[in-house]
Amino acid sequence: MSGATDPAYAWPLRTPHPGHETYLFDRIGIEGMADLETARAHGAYETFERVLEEMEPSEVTAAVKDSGLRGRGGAGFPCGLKWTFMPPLDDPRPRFLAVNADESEPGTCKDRVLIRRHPHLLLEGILCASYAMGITAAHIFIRGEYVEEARVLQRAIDEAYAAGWIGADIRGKGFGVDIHLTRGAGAYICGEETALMEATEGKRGHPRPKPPFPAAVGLWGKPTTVNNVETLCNVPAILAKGVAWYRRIGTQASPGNVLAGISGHVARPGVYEVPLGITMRRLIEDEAFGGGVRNGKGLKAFIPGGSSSGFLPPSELDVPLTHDDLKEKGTMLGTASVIVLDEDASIVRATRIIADFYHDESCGQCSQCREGTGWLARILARIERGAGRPEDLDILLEACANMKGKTICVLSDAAAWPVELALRHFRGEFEEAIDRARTVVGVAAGSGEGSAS
Amino acid sequence: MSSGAEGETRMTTIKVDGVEHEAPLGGRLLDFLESIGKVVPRFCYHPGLSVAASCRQCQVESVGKGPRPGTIVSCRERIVEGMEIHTDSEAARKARAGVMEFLLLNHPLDCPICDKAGECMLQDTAYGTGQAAGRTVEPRRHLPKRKSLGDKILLDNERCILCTRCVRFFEDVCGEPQLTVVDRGDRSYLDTFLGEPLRGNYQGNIVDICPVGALTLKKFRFRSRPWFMTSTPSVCGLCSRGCNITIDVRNNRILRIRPRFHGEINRWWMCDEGRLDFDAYNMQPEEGRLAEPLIRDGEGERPAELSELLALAAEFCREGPALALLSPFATVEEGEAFRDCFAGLDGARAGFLAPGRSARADRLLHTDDPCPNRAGLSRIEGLEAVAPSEIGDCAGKTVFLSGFGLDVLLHGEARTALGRAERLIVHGHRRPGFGNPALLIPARTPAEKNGRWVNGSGIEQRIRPALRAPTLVPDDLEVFRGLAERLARPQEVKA
Repeated sequence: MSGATDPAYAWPLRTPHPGHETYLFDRIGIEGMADLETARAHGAYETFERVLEEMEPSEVTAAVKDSGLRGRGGAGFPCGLKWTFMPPLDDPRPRFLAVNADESEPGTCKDRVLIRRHPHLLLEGILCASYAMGITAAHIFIRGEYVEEARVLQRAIDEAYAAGWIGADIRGKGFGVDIHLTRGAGAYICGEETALMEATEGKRGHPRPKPPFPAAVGLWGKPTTVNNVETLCNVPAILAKGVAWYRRIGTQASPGNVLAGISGHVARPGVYEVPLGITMRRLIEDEAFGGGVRNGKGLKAFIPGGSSSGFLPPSELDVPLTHDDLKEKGTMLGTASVIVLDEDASIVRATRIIADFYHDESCGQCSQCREGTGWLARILARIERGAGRPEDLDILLEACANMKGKTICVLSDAAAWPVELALRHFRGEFEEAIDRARTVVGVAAGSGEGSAS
Repeated sequence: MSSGAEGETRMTTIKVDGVEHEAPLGGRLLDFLESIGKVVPRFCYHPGLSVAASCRQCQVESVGKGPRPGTIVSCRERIVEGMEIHTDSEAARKARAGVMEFLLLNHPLDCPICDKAGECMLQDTAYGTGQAAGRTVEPRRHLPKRKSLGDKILLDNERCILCTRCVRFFEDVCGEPQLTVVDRGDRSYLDTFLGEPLRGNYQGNIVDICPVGALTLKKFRFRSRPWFMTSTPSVCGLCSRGCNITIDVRNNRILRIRPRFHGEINRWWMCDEGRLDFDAYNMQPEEGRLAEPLIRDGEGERPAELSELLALAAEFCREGPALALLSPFATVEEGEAFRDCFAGLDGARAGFLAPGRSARADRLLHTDDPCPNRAGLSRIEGLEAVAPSEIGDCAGKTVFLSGFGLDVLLHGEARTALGRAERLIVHGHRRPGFGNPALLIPARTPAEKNGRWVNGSGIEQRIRPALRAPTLVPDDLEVFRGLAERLARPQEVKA
């Protein structure tokens, strides 16, 4: 199965890797897994059926809580704990599950593979979670650019409805849930859980101030849990093979496998299912995964978990891929989407490109984010094109400090982190860019830029 | 300040800047901080609107229980037990200065030509944070600076800081969204839906609540710096709601009328009619304002002393039968003096004009009663409410029409009936536009007098003079007292 290539993407999906137990990608290589018939032949919905027959909802929640599964959408919040925030099952209000399929963090395309190749795994995860929390309806919010994925998923939902796996009174066990699919319109911010709910409700995707948290006031004001696609895809395996089995994979604090995407200047870019705790060095250099920097070049830097997690230098290659280890390095596991930059890459340019992205995607609600993302991008662009001033680097850092932890959502923080990390680990490169400009262009490189205030 | 729905507000002790205070549990932190004299700058928060918590200017530092430690936005925070707040710590000041710097990155800084300068929250806060110079050298964003949003309001997109107060005003107060923020990030701009002009009678309020000079009134644009105007608190007279207003005057002309908070009457708002229809108050002699007493003299008119007119008026009234009609714009004091004039006069009928209800009532402020003091005059014993239909034939009678606004409230048949009067005496701020008055006594407008009005729900309020009346226009009370004197002591007057 190793080495399967999806012609639609020219994007290799090299999994599973011998020596690792896989449960997310173990069946994605099978032709036609998006069809219910094939999926059923390979065990789809069997776990859910057993759960319906043998487990109480509270037991499902307990199992997920005990498994230590942490959210795979970026924040790494314990999934089972999140489920317990929902009101008790005898609360008469309708309650919702919002499924975050708005995968937009640059470097990240793991959920896409799951949805495209094995949508019934996601649906089974949704059904198990819905059973545990007594969900009335699950709303999947899928990013607008995922046109084909939305088509595949909708077909899977339709087939599952027709076969009685979704809807009222599933399998005659008295439990029913609806699953709806909503397509986004192309805004990164809609991947933020409260903006996602706003967008699902048909409004402008603006994050809501918290508290109240979604478990109290969520979709249409009702209790809601928001889970990432990959997180939910972990659930059937936990319930099928047990907590003890699950906890043997990964590390104590970050158990399980994670879908790690490797992109950039590597020999073998792709999405890999790896146990948490694997080192960055292995992920990037191992022949089974990234295969090292392409064309035999040296490594300049790597991004560990999507663009907002910023750059780390090669000296940090031995950091294990876990939530806590990466947090210690001032970054985060995020979506475990590794972007590799070879020795020829310009950190100044790469940072500017990332800043441009957040500038483009800020929703514009909070002053710091709306104005700050643009400021960072403009200063970086100026440095890149050779008009930087020495004081710009301190201004960048102060602007970052003023953007972090002070806004409704964390997009502002996400824009600031990569700039801060780039300046922490690669400040010399920025200073060089500024110095070079001043030698070539002249001393007053920064003057004459726009209107000084 | 919001508090628990029922019963008394429970209090708790919280610490603000090291000092313990009794604070209402569950109250809004920003409101409480303001109530104990702390200055908390804010742009998006307005007590009359839903909370957006998006400008992030009202940050203070939390170090105690409740909210997470660090800077918090005080407009969204509720008071909890054990709270400890620093409003002026390094972290709080830095956070607020940071927001200010971000807001000014793309602000055009065109204060020298901005109408809001002097009463601009952004300007005031910029001075307050003490950052003397901007650090940005990037080009500022350029957006339309003169965008018409209908016939009343002009939008300057560059100055807008996207606080969304105006957006929320139409949503929360009017219940009819008309404005929205278009696009994303720092490309966001304010616009109406589909570029339609603004509708409705409450648009002017978005100018008041705009914290910057983005929304300006076309009528006030470039008319005056705010500090050159004198502000007088008064009450609006265009319906029986009695909205509290501030009249802004420069060189004895009203340039602007703004609402003034009254919790039971108009809160922070007023209608555009009350805000913009002040031209009658500003009427000058050359525009038709009656500025001196006039006596009809054959085909023409001649100016005369007030005493001469009052003597003639008293004589006409005694020749009677007299019908004396007072305007419902008159104050309670004037109503009483007016009644006293005619109390002892045989055959005289004295009342105030009580026109029918209009179709102007809306769900917000405007009532269906065009009279600001119907309730106050109705309370006066001996002063009859006279509907226009009850005026009857005036042929052979003496008619005394008194007060600002009577001519506006009288139409059609009533005008014809009054015009047939044998002797028509008009005490008004301009010529009535009907009949052929024998005597024209100049009257003051509500913007020129002091007195009490009672609004439709029975609340008694004070109106105050914002303008000086023309020199030869006597106070209305002086006219009534003079007339009363002459009606009571005819011999003296004749002599």
